[in-house]
Parts: sequence; structure tokens; C-alpha cells
Amino acid sequence: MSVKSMPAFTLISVLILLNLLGLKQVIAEPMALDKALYINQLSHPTPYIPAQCYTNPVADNGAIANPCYACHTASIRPNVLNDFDVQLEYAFPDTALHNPWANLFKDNSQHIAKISDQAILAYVRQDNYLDADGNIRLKQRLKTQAAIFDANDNGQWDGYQPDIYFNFDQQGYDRDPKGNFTGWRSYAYYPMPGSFMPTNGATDDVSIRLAKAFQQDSRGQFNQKIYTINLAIVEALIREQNVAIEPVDENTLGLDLDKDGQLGMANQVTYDWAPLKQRFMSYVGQAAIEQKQGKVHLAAKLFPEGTEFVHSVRYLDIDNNKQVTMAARMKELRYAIKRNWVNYYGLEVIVAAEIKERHDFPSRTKTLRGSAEEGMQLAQGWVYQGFIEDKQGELRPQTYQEHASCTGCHSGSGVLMDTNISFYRKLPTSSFQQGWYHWQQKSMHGIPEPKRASDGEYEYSYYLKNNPTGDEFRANNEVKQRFFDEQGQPRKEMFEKLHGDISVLMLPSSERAIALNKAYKVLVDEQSFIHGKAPLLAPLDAVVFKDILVGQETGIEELLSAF
Amino acid sequence: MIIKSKLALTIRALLIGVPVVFLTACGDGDDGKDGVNGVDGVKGADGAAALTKVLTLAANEECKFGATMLQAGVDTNGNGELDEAEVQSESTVCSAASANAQMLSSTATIKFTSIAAPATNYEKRMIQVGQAKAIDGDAETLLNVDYHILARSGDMFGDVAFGQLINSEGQPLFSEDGSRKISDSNEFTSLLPIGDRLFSVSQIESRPGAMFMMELDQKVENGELSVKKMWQLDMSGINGGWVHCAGSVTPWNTHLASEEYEPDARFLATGADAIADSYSAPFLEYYDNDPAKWNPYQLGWTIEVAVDASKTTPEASLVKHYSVGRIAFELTYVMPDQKTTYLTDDGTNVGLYMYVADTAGDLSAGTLYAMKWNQTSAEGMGAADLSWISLGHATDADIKPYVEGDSITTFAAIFDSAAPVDNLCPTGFSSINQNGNGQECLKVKDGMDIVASRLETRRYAAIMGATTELRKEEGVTFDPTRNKLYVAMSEIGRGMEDFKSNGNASNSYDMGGSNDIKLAGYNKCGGVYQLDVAADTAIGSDYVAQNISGLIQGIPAVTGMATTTAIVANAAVYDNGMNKCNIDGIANPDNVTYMSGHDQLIIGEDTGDGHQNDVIWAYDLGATTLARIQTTPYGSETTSPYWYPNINGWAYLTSVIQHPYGESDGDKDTGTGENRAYTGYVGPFPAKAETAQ
Repeated sequence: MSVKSMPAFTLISVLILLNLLGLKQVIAEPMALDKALYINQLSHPTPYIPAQCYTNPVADNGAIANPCYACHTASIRPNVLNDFDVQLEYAFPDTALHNPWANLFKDNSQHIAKISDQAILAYVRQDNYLDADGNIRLKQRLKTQAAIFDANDNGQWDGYQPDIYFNFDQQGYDRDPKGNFTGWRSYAYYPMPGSFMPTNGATDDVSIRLAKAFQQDSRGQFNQKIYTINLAIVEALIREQNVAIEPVDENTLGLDLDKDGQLGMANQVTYDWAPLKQRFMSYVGQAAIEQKQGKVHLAAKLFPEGTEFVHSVRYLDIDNNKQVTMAARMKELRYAIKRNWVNYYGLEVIVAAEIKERHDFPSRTKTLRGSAEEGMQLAQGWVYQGFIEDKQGELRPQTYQEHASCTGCHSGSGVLMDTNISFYRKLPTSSFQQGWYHWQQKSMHGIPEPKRASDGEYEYSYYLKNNPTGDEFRANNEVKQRFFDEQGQPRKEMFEKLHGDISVLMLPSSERAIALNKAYKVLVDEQSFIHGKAPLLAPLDAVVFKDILVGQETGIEELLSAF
Repeated sequence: MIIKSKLALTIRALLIGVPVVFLTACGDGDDGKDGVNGVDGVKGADGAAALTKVLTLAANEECKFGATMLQAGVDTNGNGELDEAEVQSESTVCSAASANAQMLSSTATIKFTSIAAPATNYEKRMIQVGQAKAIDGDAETLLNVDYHILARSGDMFGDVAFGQLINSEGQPLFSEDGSRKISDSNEFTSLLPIGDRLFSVSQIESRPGAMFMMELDQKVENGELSVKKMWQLDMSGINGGWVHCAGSVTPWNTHLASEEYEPDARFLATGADAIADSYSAPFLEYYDNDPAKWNPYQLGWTIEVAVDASKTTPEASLVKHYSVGRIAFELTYVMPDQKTTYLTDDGTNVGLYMYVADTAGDLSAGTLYAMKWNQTSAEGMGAADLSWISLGHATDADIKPYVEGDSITTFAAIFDSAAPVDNLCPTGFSSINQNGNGQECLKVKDGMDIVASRLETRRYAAIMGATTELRKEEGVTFDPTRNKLYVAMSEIGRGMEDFKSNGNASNSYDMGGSNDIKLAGYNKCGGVYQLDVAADTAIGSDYVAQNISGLIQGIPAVTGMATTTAIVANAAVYDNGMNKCNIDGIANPDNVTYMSGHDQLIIGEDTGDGHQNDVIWAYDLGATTLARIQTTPYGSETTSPYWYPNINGWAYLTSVIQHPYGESDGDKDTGTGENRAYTGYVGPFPAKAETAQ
């Protein structure tokens, strides 16, 4: 949106707009930041315990909500961290008993009131990732300001170099401005219940990229067909299900993909993996060669070495039909790469060590590994890295402490599949573009509600039944009022609608969307992310504990499973 | 100058170690002290000091066994060292061939220059070793000492994979993904010279446990060790192994292994109980997950491993010494009389035990004692006089039937138990508090005292009035110079406080127990205690610990870590929220070993948020200074440093680095990636002439 097209505005809007104009100028030369922020520093030792974990799930009226199970659940191997027990108890180390997430209790209403609707919409509609020429602004910044972000002082940026253009084709593949494949492929997925539903503050997208060998034929040449099959194989392994593919002549691959006992035309990747019973699966192309050489590995529920994810977290935009959509502006860009393989036993040992540590030293906090420059390293073989808006709205690398937040959600809960959440939740191949598309290609409207594997219940309906506000802070009354009546009884017609179209739950009203955008913009202005970055419309004193006792029970009585 | 510096480079390339500096003439170091008042102009005179420097050169064409070079010159820049530019003359003498020529003189001692704590991400991924030096009077020789790897978990030696877990049939265990179960929890690794051969037994801290025997090759010229051959030990004769933590070498040259965290037979009575317990369940894979094979009383013992080297293929014999007792063995440590043996007990609310064997060199029969803490000071780390409560005499053979024979027993067959009411036990029941269980009310069944003393040693000790309030008691070692034992306490708190837990009021650790230890403060950074030993005719030992007091404790860097000593904040570079103990103090000491002949106490750390990277320290007992001698990669734990003063003219400090993260060498990928553990040593050090065997 250009400045000229903006409607009349108030004095305050003028100020904000001037700020935006200023921002335009700064784009070429991003603001200088304090290098000290990029050195390993924590203001408190447990940024890996999310703010959501301090919620008191028992409301004043005695009603018990259980948003915890969405993360803390009986797990699926090789994630053997069955951590459903923490639904019952705040098993925090001593130093985490005082809630460090001060933003949860801060009243930002005055600051929010100063931001006009027009100003915030103008703000979220600006693309802070690509410039007018289609170049990645962050990439440029990491070069020109390398000295600031160079935590290891070797004269260069050693973290992720953003290389995704969000320019997806009809199969979800990303192309650079010259039309070349970047290797990234976007997929649509069922958002995880809770914070990641747009109604709670942000829209998200995720793209996956497999290592070069997975993109190449056996002669080492890029081959889209091979790459697409390898992605289907990975999908089959993560789902432990057969995955439909475009018909392919197995003779060209030398692999019985559909496991029908002969080489012929295959319409699916058949999942049949039981190494102890001598039933193996293989990647295709160059990756098959590397697999034989032991350079890459294959196992159910694990991604191969070199797998990358990129995840943008964005503001909420409003389209001409007053529908909430994904905004151009990114709040964050998050990245992960699997650096090394950890086999099932290795993963078992990581959990055994965690159990022993919790038993022997319950007051110890976790040792964090990594740096703001190179990202946080997880024992499971992954590195996680993040970028977030600076005060002027340009993406910058997250500081060490901001990064530390990645490790909690991505390493220590039962719901994870190889530290990842979204890919297991990818839409099935029966969906639009086989589920390989970006939300800007097709919105969330019309996606039917998925069912739980364990009991066949509708997943989001089950979540709402156990947590009526649909968030971890009991702060989303819009959802509660949409799905429950004054007496707290479910509105059947709304649940019926939800079964056929998840957007009924996922998308907030435009009023709420604008308010959430403003609430988050306050945090950007303050750069106060280390104190919590949930966009909150009111302080949570009545819902979230400021202090917790050792071994305090949550009050939740019934253990639930996420699966 | 250019020529000089080239020469310097050449010399550096040839160096085994740098230099001994002899300060001569007027330039002795004391002159520097005069400078303090700043009035006199004497300091200027120091610049004229004549210095000599002795360099030890590596073997080269001219000198097959190395050489010594003497450099001389004037200290023109007054820095007290003979710099390369100041050298005026050099003379070189080739070394003799004998190994003795490389040994230290009987008056020399090894000390360490502290290496800086890792500050960068790169350093935090590395194994770093501090500079060792031999000091003999004013002479100081830098030693060519580094960390050397014997084996990493997953390394193959023939068809043996180091760290491989096996079942009772000797078959390797696999995960569902087809990967071998290769543990990265390498632990204590002994060096056992037998005749002219050198062996090593290496144990794995896993469930099921595993052990390996290696024959090592020792290079004559530099003492370096390498694995010639490796064998996996069959543990089926001792009902499998369990969490082999630390260990020791007996004076009669056998390997003593521990079984830590004995499964609690009260709560893990059946196979179903074990399967439901995520810590115990993996053990049953030893028996192909047959729950009927579960017997908690078969686990939690001291294992002696003797190597018979009379044949080309050596044989190892393993025995669990039932007469020694059953606890959460950190380790079992035999004193020089070959009879008195100390047993340390790891966990929450645990004890300290002493076993006195009937016969020197034989741990199959003896009397067991448990420590009673008679507190003399509540300040700091506290102090106490110790008394020893007899738990009775037993032989391995007496106990065996109850563990694996005709009389296999259970917790319920040993004790009557009752629930406490208002923190009181019913009449006839003893009230105890041990092993983090809180208050228990127990009564030993008639005729079961000796069985209880060995199968339920800690509970029986508590019933008999011994102290079970230690917190995370770890390694033990003996200092013959001072006649002291040193015992590491990973944390000081909980049961060691007076109805408190790290300063907060708590009944958990003292209710129902004897509350012998009532320290005023706590220290989550831990500390090392010293215990004077002396003869006790009633017990019949010359090595009975008489008292206990603090030797050295960790220093808190932030509030909430310790109150036994003042907080000393870290420098900014280490103040990152993950070094909660001061970077220059110890954090959560684990294993300790006394460097006999050099008067250094080696302290290994197993810390979490105390120090981001675990450290091995050398505590100079004479100077009371700490030197950081080894740092380990992120996430790892140093285990079982152990000092071997003289093996064919060389000395070694074994050092195992468990479950490291950070270093990756893809060429050796075993599927456990960069987490592969290191079994190795810091060394080789030249042995001292006087300690030659």
C-alpha cells in the first residue's frame, strides 16, 4: 500500500506514518544494534520454559482447562519422552519458580490505543523480507552488518543465509527471481492447537528443503522428479503411511517404491519399514547412493541429515472481503537444520539422561548450547535459529536469549516428531496440490477438521472441549463465545461448521486481528521479546502465576493425549 | 633477527617441551618484590640478569633419543624470561637411550598451568588440556602432555564395537531402526600392567551394563598407549551389569567396578514394576524383555574383575562381592592395607560405608560398617567426628543364596513395613529417611539381619542409627602424605541441612531420620571433604576415618546457589546464566584421584548449570591453588579421572568424557554422530624415579 492511498489520519497516525517513512529510508541502511546483545547472555536461566507453562489451568469458577496436553503428551517413538506427567505438576527448577515473563503482566492498553487501525494495517502490509527489486533484505543486512552479528568474531556471518523467495509454483516449489529452484517447498498443515492458530495472534507458514543429494539423480544432476519422490518418501516415513505420487516407472529408479514385488509403474510410496525384520526402505537418486554409503540415514519418524525448515511468523492482514489473511510483514523468520543423525538408541539415551538429571538434580537448569550467530544446537542433532523485527521493523538475528526460547518447544516435549511439529501435520495428498502449497496460494477456508488417531475425535473440537478459549492463556474470549453459549454449553452448529472448515476456529474477526497486531507492535517498539512475545490485549494477572511452589500441582486431574 | 626467528621456529618444531629457566646471578625473582614501594630505582638493575634456558628436543637424526639444549643470554627486556632474541649461545647434548633418562627426578613434582575456561562456541566444543610442567627446585620443564583417545564409543576393534550393549546370550542389542545399541556412557577405565603386558578394563554406565577388556600397546619412546585388541566381557555369570559408574584399581591390580543407583526392591519388586519404570526397563533387554528375570537384588553390587594374562588370549573373571554390601555404588576403594575398603553411595540421603576384609587382598569375606556423623560444626561445609557402626560380618557365600540361589528373597521377606502416622512409626518399627524416599517405618524380620545388612545396606544402616543424610556423595581417594581420605560431595544440601532444602524449610529429608547433619547453609556447587584416617584396634584397621571437614568448596556466582560461602560473580564473558558457580572454582565435584608423588588432588566435575563446560581440576594441596587442567565439550561429563604414577616409566591420568555434544567427525559416523564418548587419558607424563615399580 502506498502512502498516497492512505485515508485521512489522526495526529498520532501522522507520527507513526513519519516513522514508517523513516523506516523506508533506513531500509538501505538498517539501524545499528548493540553487539553485546549477540554475545551469550541470559537475564534468567530458563528461557526454555515457555510463558504458557506458568498458566494456572484452574479458573476462579473452578473450571479446569487443559491446554498442556497439546505439547506434553504420551509420545510416539523414537521420541520416548512421555512427558504427560507435567500436565499434573509444575516440575520447575528452583530458579524458575518466579515467572520471568514480565510482559504477561504488563498493561499496554495506552500504548496500543495510540496506534490507529490504518497505521497498523499499513505497517503489516509492508514486506520486510523482500525489497522492491525482489532481493532478500535480511541477507543483505547480514552482510553489511556482519560485524554486529558475528558472535564468534571470525569476520563473517556463520548462521543461516536466507535464501527462500516465497515465490511458489503450482507444486509448492520456491523459485528465485531468475526462476531457478531454491530447493524450498512449502506445505500446508493443520496448525497446532493453541498459540499457532491465527486467532491467537499470528499466521505462519513452513517450507521444507532436503539436502542436495535428495534433489539429484544418481549422476548428481538436479532432478525435480527425484526430489519430489524423496519428499514423498520422507512424508511416508514421518506419517508411517503410504503416500500417493504421480505415476513413475520404477525401472528408472531401480527401486520397488510401491513394494508390489516388481519394478513397474508406481502410484505410491509404500511405507514398509522394519529393519529388524529385514524390511527396508530407500531414498532414490543420489540420496540412495549416500544412504548405502552411510552418509544419510532413513528411519520412521526421523528426517534425513541436512533437512531444513524455514518458518515465517507473520502479522494478520484483512482482505477486501474483511477476511483475515496472512500479512506480508514477518514478525519472525525461523530456521532449522538437521546437522547430524541420532539413531533410536541415541534418542532413547538423551531421554534417559534427562530423566536421570531431573531425578538427581531437580533444581538444575538446562545447559544451552550454541550462539546467536550459529543458532541453538539440540542434542537430537538439530540447530534452530531465528530472526525477528528490530525497532524499525526490519528483520535482525535474534539475540542469544531470544534464541534460547527455541530449545524448550523443540527439544523437550512429547508431541515432537524429530523436534518438528508441522510436517507430521501436513495436509494429506488428497488436498489441493497434494498439500504442497503456501497459504498465500490458498487460504485456510474449507479445510475439513482432522481426527485424532487414538479415539477418532475431531482434533480441534477435542481441544476446545478441554480448553474452551482455544489458547493457553484463557485470553481468547472470541473463540469461547463463538463455540460456547453463555452457560458454557457447546454451540453445536459451530462445531458442525468446524468439522467442515477449520477456518471457523482459525481466523479471528478483523477487529481482533487488528488488536492483536497492535499488541504485538508494542513489543516490537519496546524490543522486549525476552520478557514474552505473546500479543496480549490485557494483563494476565488472574490467569498466570507470578510465583510457583516447588512441586506445585496444576490442578489438572485428567491426563490427556495429543494423538 | 630474521635468522633468529627462523631458528626459533625450528626449535619450536623440535620441542617436546619448553624450558626450564634457571635464574642466575643478581636477577633472582625476589628483587621484583622490592619494587612494591616504588621508591627505589633498583628494578632497573633486573634488566641485566643473565639467564639460561634448557630445552628438551624431540628425537632427530643426530640424537635418536632426543636431546637437551642449553641456551644462555642476558634478559635485556627484563621480563624474567630468556626470549629467543636474547639467546647468545646454545649447546646441545643428546639423550641416552634408557627410559630412565626420561623419568623425573625423585625431587621433581608435576604441576599444571591453568587453561582458560572456554569462552567461545568453538572452545566450548573442544577438549582442551592445560600445560603440565615438572618443577624441581627452581627448574621448570614444560611437559608434552595432551589428551589422547584410546577409543570412542562405536569404534570397532575386530568385531567388537566399543560400547555395544549385549544380552545374556552375548548377542548385540538393537533398536527398532536396526541400529546397534552402542552406549556413549563410557566410564571408569583401568590400566592393569600384568607381567610385560598392559591391559585395561573399561566399563559402561548403562542399563544393562557392559564391560570391555583391552590389551594396550605402550610406545617405548613416548609412552603413548593404543588399543591392540578389545574383547567384550560376558557378564552372564554375574546376572548382568547395571549402571557401572566409577571404579578403582585394587592394590593387587584388579579392576573394581560399581553398580550405581541400586533398584529399590521395595518399589521395583516385580518385572511389571521394572517395565513401568523408565529407568529400569531397559535393563530387561538383557533378558530379551522377560519380566520373570527381574530381581532387583541382583543389581547394585561391587564387581571385581581380574585379568589372567597367562595365555595369549587373556581371560577376565568377574565376581559380585555380596559381602561388601549393596548401595548406589559410586565406587569401592581399597586402602593400602588391602583390607580396609571405603564404599561411597550416590544419591539423596545416602551414607558412607567401610568394609574391613578378613584377609588382605580378598573382598569375599569381611565386616561392614556404616558412618555416624557426630557434628562438631554447622558452619560452612560443616565438620564432624565420625564413629562407625558395625553392620556385621558376612561372606559372599553366606549371601549368595539370597541373591541367586535357593533362598532368593524379596523386600517383603526381609522387612515388615508400616506407614507413619503423624510422622511417627508404630511401636517396634524403626523410623528412617534414606534415598530420597522420605520417612519409612521398617522392622527387620527375625533372622534376616545379615541378609538385610548386605541386600539393603543403606536401610539397615539407617535402622542401626548410622547417618544417611549425605547428598550426592561421589568419588573417594587416599592421600598417604597426609593420611587423609578425600570424598567429593556433588552438592551440599537437603539431608545435610537442618529440615531444609537449599535454604527453604522442608521436612522431606530429615523427617523420621536421625538428622545427624545439620549444616547452617547449603552449596549447590558442591565441595570436597577431607577425612583423617588412623588406626582403630577395635575395628582392626590402620585406616579408619576419624573425622570429616571441608577441604574445598565451589563458589556461587549468583544468588540461590550457595550460602556456605560468599558469592563471587563471574567476569562478563562467563556471566551467561549457565555458569552459576564461579568459573574459577569447582562445580559439582564427581570423581577425585590423588596424584601420588606430586601432591595434587585431581577433581573431575559432573555439573549442569554450575559450569557450562565440565572441567577437570588439579588442586595443589601444598599451595592450596586450583588449576584447570582439562575442559570438555558442551553437555559432557568428565568421569573417573584416575592416576597411574608409573607404568614402565610413564604416568597417566585416565579421563573419560561421557556423552559429549559438539565435535563432529563424519568419517567415523556410527549413527550416534557427534555424541560419541571418549575414553582416553591425559599424558603420558614422565614417571618419577622414586616411584618406579
